[in-house]
Amino acid sequence: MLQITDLSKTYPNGVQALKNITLNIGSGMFGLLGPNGAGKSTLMRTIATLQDADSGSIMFGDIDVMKQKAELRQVLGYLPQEFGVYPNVSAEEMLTYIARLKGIANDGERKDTVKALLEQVNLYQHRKKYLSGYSGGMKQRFGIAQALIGNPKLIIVDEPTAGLDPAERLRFNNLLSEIGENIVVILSTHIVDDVNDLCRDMAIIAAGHVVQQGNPLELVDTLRGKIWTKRVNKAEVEEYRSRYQVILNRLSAGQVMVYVMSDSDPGNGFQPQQATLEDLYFSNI
Amino acid sequence: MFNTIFFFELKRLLKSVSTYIYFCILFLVTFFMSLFIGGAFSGVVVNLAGEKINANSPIVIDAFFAGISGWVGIIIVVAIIGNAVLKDFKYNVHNLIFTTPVGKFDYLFGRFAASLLICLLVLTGPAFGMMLAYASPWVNADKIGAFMLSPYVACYWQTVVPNALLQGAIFFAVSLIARDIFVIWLSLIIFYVGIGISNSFFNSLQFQTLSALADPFGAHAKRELGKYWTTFDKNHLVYRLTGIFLWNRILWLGASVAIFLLGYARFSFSSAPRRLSFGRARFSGDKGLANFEQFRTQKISLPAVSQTFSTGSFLRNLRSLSVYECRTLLRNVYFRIILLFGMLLLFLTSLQLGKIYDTVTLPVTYQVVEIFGGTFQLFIVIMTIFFGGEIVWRNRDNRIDNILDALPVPNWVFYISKLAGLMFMQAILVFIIMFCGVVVQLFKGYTNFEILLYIKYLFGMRLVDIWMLAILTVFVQAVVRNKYVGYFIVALFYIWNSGFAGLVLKHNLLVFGSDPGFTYSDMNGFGHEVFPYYVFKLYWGAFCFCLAMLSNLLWARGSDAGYKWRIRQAGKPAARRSVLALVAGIAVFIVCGSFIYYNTNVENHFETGYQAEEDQAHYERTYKKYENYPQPKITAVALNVDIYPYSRSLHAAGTYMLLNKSGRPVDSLFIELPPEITVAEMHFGKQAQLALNDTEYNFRIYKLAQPLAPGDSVLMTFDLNRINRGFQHDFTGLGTPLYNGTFMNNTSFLPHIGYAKEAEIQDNATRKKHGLAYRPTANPITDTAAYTTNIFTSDADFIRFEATVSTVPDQIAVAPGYLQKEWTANGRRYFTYKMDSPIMNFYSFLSARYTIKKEEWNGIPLEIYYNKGHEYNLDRMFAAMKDALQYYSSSFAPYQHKQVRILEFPRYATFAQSFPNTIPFSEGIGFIADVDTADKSTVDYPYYVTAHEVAHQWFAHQVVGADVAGSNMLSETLAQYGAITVMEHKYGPERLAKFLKIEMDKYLMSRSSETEKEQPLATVDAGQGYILYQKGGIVMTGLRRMIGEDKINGALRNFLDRYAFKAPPYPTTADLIARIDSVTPDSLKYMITDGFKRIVVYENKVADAGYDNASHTLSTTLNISKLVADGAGKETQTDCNDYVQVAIYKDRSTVSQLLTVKVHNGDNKLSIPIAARPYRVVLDPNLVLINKKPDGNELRLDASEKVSKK
Repeated sequence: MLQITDLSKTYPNGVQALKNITLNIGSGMFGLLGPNGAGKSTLMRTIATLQDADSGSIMFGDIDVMKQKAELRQVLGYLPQEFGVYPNVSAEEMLTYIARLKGIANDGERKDTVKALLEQVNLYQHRKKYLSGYSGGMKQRFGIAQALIGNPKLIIVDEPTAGLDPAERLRFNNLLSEIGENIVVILSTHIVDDVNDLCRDMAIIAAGHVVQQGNPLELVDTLRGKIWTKRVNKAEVEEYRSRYQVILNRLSAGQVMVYVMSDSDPGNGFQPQQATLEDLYFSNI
Repeated sequence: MFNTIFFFELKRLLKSVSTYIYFCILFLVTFFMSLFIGGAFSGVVVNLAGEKINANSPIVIDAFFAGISGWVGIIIVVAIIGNAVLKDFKYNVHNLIFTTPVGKFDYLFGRFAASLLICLLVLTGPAFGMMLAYASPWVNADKIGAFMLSPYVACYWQTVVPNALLQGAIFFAVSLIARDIFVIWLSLIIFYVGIGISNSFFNSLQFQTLSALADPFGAHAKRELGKYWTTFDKNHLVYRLTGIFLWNRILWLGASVAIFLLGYARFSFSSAPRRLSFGRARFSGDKGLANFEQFRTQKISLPAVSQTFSTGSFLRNLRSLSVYECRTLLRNVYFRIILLFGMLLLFLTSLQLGKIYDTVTLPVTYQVVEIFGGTFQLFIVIMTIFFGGEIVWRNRDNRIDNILDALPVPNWVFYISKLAGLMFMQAILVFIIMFCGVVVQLFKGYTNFEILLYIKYLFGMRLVDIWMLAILTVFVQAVVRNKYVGYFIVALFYIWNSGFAGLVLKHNLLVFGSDPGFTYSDMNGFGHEVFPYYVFKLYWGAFCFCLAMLSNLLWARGSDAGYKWRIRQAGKPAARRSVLALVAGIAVFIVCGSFIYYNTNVENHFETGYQAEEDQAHYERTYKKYENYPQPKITAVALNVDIYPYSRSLHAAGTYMLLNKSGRPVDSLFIELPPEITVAEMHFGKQAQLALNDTEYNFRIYKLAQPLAPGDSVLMTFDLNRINRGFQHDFTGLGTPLYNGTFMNNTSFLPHIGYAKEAEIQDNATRKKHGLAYRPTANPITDTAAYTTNIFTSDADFIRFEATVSTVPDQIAVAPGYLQKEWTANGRRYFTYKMDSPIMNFYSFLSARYTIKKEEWNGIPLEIYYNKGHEYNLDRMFAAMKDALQYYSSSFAPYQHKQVRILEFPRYATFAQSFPNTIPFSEGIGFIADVDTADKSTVDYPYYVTAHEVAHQWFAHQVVGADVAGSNMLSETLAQYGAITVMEHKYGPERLAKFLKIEMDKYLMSRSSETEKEQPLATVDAGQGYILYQKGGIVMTGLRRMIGEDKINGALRNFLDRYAFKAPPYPTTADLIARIDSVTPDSLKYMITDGFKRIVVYENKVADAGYDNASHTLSTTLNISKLVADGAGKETQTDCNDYVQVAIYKDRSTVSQLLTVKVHNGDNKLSIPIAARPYRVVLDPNLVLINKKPDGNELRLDASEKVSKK
């Protein structure tokens, strides 16, 4: 469905945000995992027609995204990483406004769509209230509601759960999981569990490169039996770092748990560890 | 801690590029404007204060320094000080800072002090700009005086610093309280409104002190301080911090401190701002989540919708999106507050509606529209610039552009909806003018609401202009990458375009949004200017359309909206339609421009002011040699004048009888015609050869085959046309045929005999610029050769006159003389007028749809020809005609005609002018005056103007001065004397004193901006109206009071008896003064010298006054200073041995004693026995002396007693 080929982008300040990104994304939820500054948002914004890449192409079906922006926008739903709202405008008014901009010209249809969306994201009873008074979670739910207007074929959700409390995050992910399966949904995040919970397909992006791509379970499978852990003193960490391929140190009961990737048992008291997506993530960045 | 904050902030600001940019802007703007003023560009003349005032005189430096730093600098103050604390909230640093142990005092004072210091440094920019400009080699050395540092320093400390402090305190306090940049801008607008109110009051004498105090910039206070300064003073004196100016500064400095403290008190280290909240209450909590916790297996299902993305659907959307933009704006609390302030401003302005002699006019619609529109103009402009920026940047400022930019909406939908929102806002503002106008009319009991005129004027004409500004604003904001840069560019452009572009670029084709201008008149409506106005608007409309297309093409969308990216987008195939539209816009622009150019420059003559002067100079250089050639004089005129109001053309055929009175043979005739006249035929009763025909200057020389012997005469026959072609560059009303209300005099289309000295450049500075020699403004009074010619008509003495005038059937055409017959032929209406007695060679032709009102005085018919609807003051005019005829004919000489007619003409000029038995009278003065007879502070100026013009039937039409210095006084001052005397008989001395006080103020103000040299009354220049009317009236009235009405009138009777209709030779002022002198007792002869031959002013005041109950004596001290001034305004004390009147009031309004006492310079102590304690002492109650301290001439006793006891 969405074919990204050799996409590169260098900002005027010299930061190369995207380096020959090639991705093939089918329908369903696609997770784009990467640390802060990896180039996720640049990629998202480029797909969302908000900026141009220096080279490469993005095809969504027959639409050449960078050349046919107007066409892509007609099938796009976009929840940006960060967005503001007008003061003194209620959720209902704003959704109606956006619905109109999305080409829903019929008054009745527009009204029904807005009502349905507000109910789906559970903001119906707050529909008359100003968006500027919404909590972070409510605002994100409003954000997904506006992205869903007009039954888009491509939905881009850029770091939607950053800053949400765990309960809100859960609610939000539930909501995302309810989006239909026949469309392309790209979820960019730095939270491994989001991808774990929601995506059937994913890519890890770091420093502008795609470093892993595939089904999360299959990717984790590649690490089966290769993750080993050991609890060590803080002072010893440096030594372990130099001797093993340490992918992660984690504080644990006052000591440090060292995660090491190794095809065979490294010995030295290391215990085998069940591989997770998180391990995959840390081993790739 | 204070130091840490102060120096950190200081360093931050000093490192900031914008600080230097601000300085450079102020520096450069002032530098270039100073070059203009300094005459660096020969074609551009900017006189801020008067021709003799140096470009670097203290008064200009002050006006300029204070003006630039006040009006432009205020934006910088907002940007720097308004943001000093606000930026912490904007960038969310406040959470970090407020949790440190920094104290409120240190934090706020540190920030304020540092940002204020930077502001004060930046605001020195204009001073350096001026210094450099005036020291540069490009300025005209004649306009530059010696360098003085003190004006810069004084202005900086007295005005710039306190003003910046006040502005800083206001915007700082507002930023502390509201924590919202929006509110800061709002307060800026309110600040402007305050100044607007102060301005609207300054025009009226009675509110001057109030407005001087109320002006936060102190400009009015300074004007008050220097309003009677002479040219010399203005070039040498620096404003001193005294009097009203000092009080103003103290008042506003106090206000600054109070405002700062208010802000300080209201500020607390909490992160929640106090917002102005008028909307729905905020809420918190999200209780509706209970049923949302569990995981749902069903998918989100939304109703099926149809989406359309055709141009048609975009257009349909556009309407509702525009409505959305408007609604957002209207819902804006600040917008509503600003509207309320604007309305308040308008209502306050209405109190001063069209004041002439402190007397308002009726709130007729055009007057309300113009005054309200003018007051509101700045307001609408500020709102447009401000909300234009807001509306364009709203998405980005609210960070909602991330969502909206990715929506399937073409740029033009966004663009147009925003523009429409802004235009709609402007329409609302314009509607407010109309709404307030009707309310004010209703409130004043005026019910002739011309709603259609409101709509035509405001929505048909004005709105078009401000819509263009909206397009420009949106264009600039769409292109720039910073909203504030956008504001600055638009504001600077607006100032440049409205104030300077016309001066520099000259042609309206180059001045954005310009048009030839128009004046609405009840008589002539918008007249002939509607078509050119709209052609110009179409031209600039096409330009704006191009800007709109560019805005659309360059619309910033997405996250890296750099210029390269935008230009690339504009080049893409998707943008082709806009590019095509742009090309079409350019085509319309070029076509309209060519059409305009064809009309203004090909069909009509276009020249800049400089070129026009050069033409005059060329005329003088070429033809001056013929000035003293003997020429015959016109003795009889017979004319057929056809006025074509609707094609605005005129045809004139007729004859002049020319008589050689020169005593020498005349061999050639020099004929001069106005430039737009074409000659169909011109021949003479004797054989004559056309020896020269200069069509450019319309100057002809006919060589007579046989010279015309002295005493011989020749008949001149001519047939002339004045054809109107297309439209002209500038609005022309007066002196041309009009749809309704034509008023032309003979000089505007009939031949003049001989070289016309009037066509020379008068002003000597201008003459110098064009390489012409110095020329005295008039012939010296001793030049007896000039006594054979009068000052008004060099080519005739008294003439016989008859004329047939024709016009369209629904109009009445009028010329001097008495109507002999009237008939209709060929669909035109003809009137024949014949004068039975000799008149001056100065006559008028009028044609309009008149209504006539007739009355009679002693068998003499009195008629007023007026525009229907303007009946308000006809009775006052009739009363004035009767009183004046009665008084003048019994006191001076009989009235020479058998009729008096007043004829209304459109308000393109506001004067009345006396022709033989015919007085054209502008609709702009008198006809719509709202005179409240009961209110003693109003002046019945319809009565006064009428009396003045009727007096000219004697002074100008019976007796006229020789062509030497001072002669205008014989007509203007004497007419003024007549009018004042008649007015005093009608209204009494007390109300006259009010009139004289205004006249004295006008005289003292005007002499302070004299451009050439102030002359004594006896040798006054023709152009010195303030001496002829104001000083002359005061001097003559003073003489009448001190010498006696009968004696003065006797002298005038004697003067008329000797000279009326008997010239040449014509009299001079010396002849008049001799007659007045002969009736003056020796003890008062000094009044003749002071009044006519010198420039004398006084600085008099009542220093103290006290009453001794025991001895029943009033003791008072009069402080007298008599000054004599030279022509440049330098005043020196002179011996005083003069009589002054002192009035002692029993109570507020009753004079118990009027004494005449002799005074000398310095303190004069008087002891006056009086039975009871008087109320007040008034020095010179009848305003006989010209006093530069007019407010010091009276003292209330109870108030002064405490002082005198000390």
